[in-house]
Amino acid sequence: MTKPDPILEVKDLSVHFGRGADLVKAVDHVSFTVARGETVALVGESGSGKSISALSLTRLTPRAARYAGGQVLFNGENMLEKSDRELREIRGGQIAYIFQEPMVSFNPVFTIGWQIEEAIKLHRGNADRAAEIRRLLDLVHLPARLAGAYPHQMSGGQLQRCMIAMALACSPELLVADEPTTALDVTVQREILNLLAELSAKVNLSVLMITHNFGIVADLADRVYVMKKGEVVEEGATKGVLYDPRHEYTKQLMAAVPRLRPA
Amino acid sequence: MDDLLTVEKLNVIYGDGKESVHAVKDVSFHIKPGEIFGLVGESGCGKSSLGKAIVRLTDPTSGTIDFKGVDVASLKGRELKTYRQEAQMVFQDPYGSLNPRMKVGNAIVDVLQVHGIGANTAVRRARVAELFEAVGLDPEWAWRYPHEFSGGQRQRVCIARALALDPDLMVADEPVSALDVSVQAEILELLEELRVSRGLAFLFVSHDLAVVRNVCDRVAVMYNGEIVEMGAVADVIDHPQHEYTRTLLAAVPSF
Ligand SMILES: Nc1ncnc2c1ncn2[C@@H]1O[C@H](COP(=O)(O)OP(=O)(O)OP(=O)(O)O)[C@@H](O)[C@H]1O
Ligand SMILES: Nc1ncnc2c1ncn2[C@@H]1O[C@H](COP(=O)(O)OP(=O)(O)OP(=O)(O)O)[C@@H](O)[C@H]1O
Ligand SMILES: [Mg+2]
Ligand SMILES: [Mg+2]
Repeated sequence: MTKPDPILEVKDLSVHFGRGADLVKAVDHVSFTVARGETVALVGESGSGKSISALSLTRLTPRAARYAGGQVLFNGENMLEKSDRELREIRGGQIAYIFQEPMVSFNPVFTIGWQIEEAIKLHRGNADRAAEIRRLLDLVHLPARLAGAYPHQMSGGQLQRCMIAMALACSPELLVADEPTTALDVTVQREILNLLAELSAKVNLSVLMITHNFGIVADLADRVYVMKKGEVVEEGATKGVLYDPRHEYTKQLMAAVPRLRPA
Repeated sequence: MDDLLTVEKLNVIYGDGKESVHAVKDVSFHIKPGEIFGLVGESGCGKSSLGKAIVRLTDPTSGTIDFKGVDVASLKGRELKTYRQEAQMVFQDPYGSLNPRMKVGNAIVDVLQVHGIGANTAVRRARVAELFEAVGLDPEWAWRYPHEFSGGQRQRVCIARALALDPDLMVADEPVSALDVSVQAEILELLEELRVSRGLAFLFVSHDLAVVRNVCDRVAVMYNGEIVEMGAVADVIDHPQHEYTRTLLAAVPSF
């Protein structure tokens, strides 16, 4: 099932924190790939290294993180050997992020509109920015008036959608979406997922999606990697992993999925 | 049994004049001791605003919040401090609700001290370790800073903090949204246990209708600041009356 043309190849990546008794192998010999136009889901235990893996792709990890081995090939180039400056250009250019905790990625003293405008400026130059801000907000089902609001004046889901809008502002090739819809009701969530599916079909957007929601995985992902304690324990096409899991941990996860209409 | 919490005609309006946002409109409901009351609804419809008003972190514009027979909407000083001990909140944004410069366990030790719980620091530290264990975190990790945790670990730190003061009411705003389904099930079991053993009651805000179905007794559906439907959770999910509830249920991803 793997599409032939990989945009991202993570090979044998290890990322550690602390030393000695405090050593945490947050990412422990992890490998995964995303093909162009493919949507890949990273699922698994809380604390298993999903976010750190995602942040490693462009070395956005916390300062305390140590790269203990492996490669991150994006379009064939090793991201771990790029300069900070090159990485800054790639981030928000070819690779965009939707972070797990939206509040952290906004500056509290500027309006949402101002922050989206900065993202546009960086990648789009002087196109009609006001119109572009309106278009982006509309894309994520937010009223244009929210451009004037500050982050603390937004609901959790409104802020999450602003971050999605900012990530899409630069028309990335790869979207890294870490729990992108946790603060959204299911109707808005559906709209956002449809939007991502549409972008992947139309402009060949590749998506690395981290989620605890197997409904989203089933809906959107072509392939799935299951992580536990820093390692990938199972991988495969979505149907196989969800309906016929092999690893004990995946089976345990599937059994724990809450059901809307209990049998 | 008498209600623990009775909210009547509650309104929350942010700002004034043309710029004002009427986030909570004439909301009324009640929660019994030991009841898990679900709150679902559109993103931006006013759920967090309602929750924060109930624990008095946002000032309600009008209406009453009766908690054990006292209107807490206008409490001040000592009484407000006591109420804050009895009614705890787990915030939707765990990171923003933790002090980045303090080891999470020390922050909890401080809270215990402020409320006069535990004979000395050693006792309080032991209590912190116990709470960490309860939410599935290594007790050693209590002495780390907030940024050293994963998203779901931080969420569990916040649950541990909310439980520290042994409250009677917990306003839990998306308390398990960052947890894998297996850890989520364990946390929900812990809450259920506290409900049974302690009579702890919950206002449980969630976008996950399957979770709501599995843990809540009753549920209210909020839309644009108002409660549009309320009832036993099975009734609302199996026989939704309001158009918005139907739309919501139809959008649940099926797996
Ligand atoms: N700055 C840090 N210092 C020490 N340990 C860290 C740091 N950041 C993360 N970790 C640890 O690395 C491990 C992996 O964290 P990561 O954020 O990748 O988990 P995750 O899979 O995204 O979990 P979740 O689903 O809960 O968000 C965790 O055990 C976490 O505690
Ligand atoms: N401090 C504030 N100042 C002005 N408006 C605010 C403030 N806080 C919230 N709002 C607005 O009030 C409305 C309700 O927000 P609230 O956070 O209560 O929604 P919510 O139901 O919790 O949504 P979500 O599910 O997305 O978290 C939103 O339109 C929001 O933009
Ligand atoms: Mg994470
Ligand atoms: Mg909210």
